[in-house]
Order: sequence, then structure tokens, then C-alpha cells
Amino acid sequence: MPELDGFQLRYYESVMGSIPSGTLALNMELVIAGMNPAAEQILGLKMHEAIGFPLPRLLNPLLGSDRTQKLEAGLKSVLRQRFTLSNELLLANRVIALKASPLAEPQQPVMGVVLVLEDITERKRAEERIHLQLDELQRWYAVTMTRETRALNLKVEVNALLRRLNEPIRYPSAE
Amino acid sequence: MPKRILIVEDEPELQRAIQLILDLDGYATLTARGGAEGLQMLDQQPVDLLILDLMMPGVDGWEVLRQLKGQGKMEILPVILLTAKDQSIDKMLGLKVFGARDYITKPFERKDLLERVAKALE
Repeated sequence: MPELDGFQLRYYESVMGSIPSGTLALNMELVIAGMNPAAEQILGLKMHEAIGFPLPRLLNPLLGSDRTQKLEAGLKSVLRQRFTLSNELLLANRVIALKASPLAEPQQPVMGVVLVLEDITERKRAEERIHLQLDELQRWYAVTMTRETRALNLKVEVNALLRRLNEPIRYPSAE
Repeated sequence: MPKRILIVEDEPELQRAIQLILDLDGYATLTARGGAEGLQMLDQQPVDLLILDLMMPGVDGWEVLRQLKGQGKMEILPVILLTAKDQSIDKMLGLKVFGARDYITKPFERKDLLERVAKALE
């Protein structure tokens, strides 16, 4: 890989810094090779602190061993089978959407994995609020419709009784 | 009123040693042999400081930290992490990601423990 000169390095850093999603590059051993500032924010660690550590080692305390092992198996599948893995993680109380893709040129061997992380905590909360509001709306609708149906039935009954008495009906709208 | 310190450590001898050091210095100590017991004790009684071993069987220290952070308790409860491993990544994660107050690597000196406890309780 060619060395970057000062301008290229600043340009590269500027591009990485402007990407709003957390982006990490892992090598074939799932060791962190690079990350952008958005990824630093999501993981709570600076690049110089995280670089060189296997991602599963770093995530194990945050996710617990079961979920870390599943994620590690998924990332290894991405390396072997060249597909994109999508997942959601609960990281230190935040919901993170993860997308892992193989890092490779077409027809070339895979060099690692690129991870894109999005903090979707607020979106999840908003979705939860909308679901609750929809549930509430459906309950109100059911209650209102029951009451309306009952009122209509009563009007029909009143009209029927008036007919039996040869009186004019009171609720034409219910006919 | 002495400060109350909960020690969550699965090795009985080490737990006893920490307890003795802190008791002799005037602290009121409580002990738990594992993470599950520790979490239960934290729910039941007020504690001023938690000394938490990271590597324990069953519910380990990380799980305790995850739960405390999930409950928003890491902002109000100072935690000192205790582990045999002097691994920088554990230290960084414990302090930076979970918000633990300090970190002690086993084996440690009595003086070091007391200094860190006093500092965490400031």
C-alpha cells in the first residue's frame, strides 16, 4: 500500500471525519485497523486507544459473551462468504444498527471487514412512542365504535316501537 | 456515620482481606460473593462505594456494570474496579465507557487501596 503524503493524509482524515456514521475497518483477524470520529463517539474510545485490539475483545464487556460470540461468528461469515451482515446491538444503553461488509475489490481476496454503525436509539424510542400512540388510538376507536353501534341499535329499537304504535319514527337516520 | 462500601469479590480470602483493611480504617463494609448477589444488595440498601471484581464466575463484573449503567446508577455510585488482569483495554472500557471511578490491579498494596477508596469517596 503506498504511503500517504501530508496532504493526502489530511484529506483522508477530513473525509473520514465528515462521515456521519461510525465507520471501522477490521483486518482478517477482526483487529481494529482504523475508525472515524463518529465510531469513536459510539464506542466511547479514541482511535489510538482501540486500534490494534480485536473488536470482539473490545465489545465483550459491553455486549456480554453470548452476544459477542454471535457477532464474532457473523463477522467471520462476512469474511468467508462475502455478504453484508445487518444487526442491532445494545451498546452501553444505546441501540446501534450495525452493517458489516467485506473489504475487497471485485475478484480480489477479502482484506477485512468494514463496519458501519448508526446510533438509532432516538429512532427506536420514537417508533416505540408511535406504537404506543397507535395502540391508544385503536382502543379509543374500539370504544367509540361500540358506543356508536349501541346508540344506533337503540334508535332502531325506538323507531320499531313507534311503528308498532302507528307513530312517526323519530330517527330517520337510523333507517 | 461511616461510609458504606460494598465489596463484590468471588475469592473469599481476598474479599476478607479487603474487608479487614477497610474496616480497620473506619469504613462500614458489606460483601457479596458474586455479581448477582451484589446487584441484589445494591437494590436493597444504600451504598457509598462499590468495589467490583471484573472476573467472576456467573454474573461477572462487566454484567454488573452493564446493569448499573442501564439503570443510570453509574452517575451516582462511585465504582472501583478490581481485577487480576492489568489489561489496558479493560481499564479503558471500565473507566471511559462505563464510567467507573478508578481501577485497581491485583495484587495491590493496602495503602494504595485506601488512597483510591478515599479519593473515590471525595
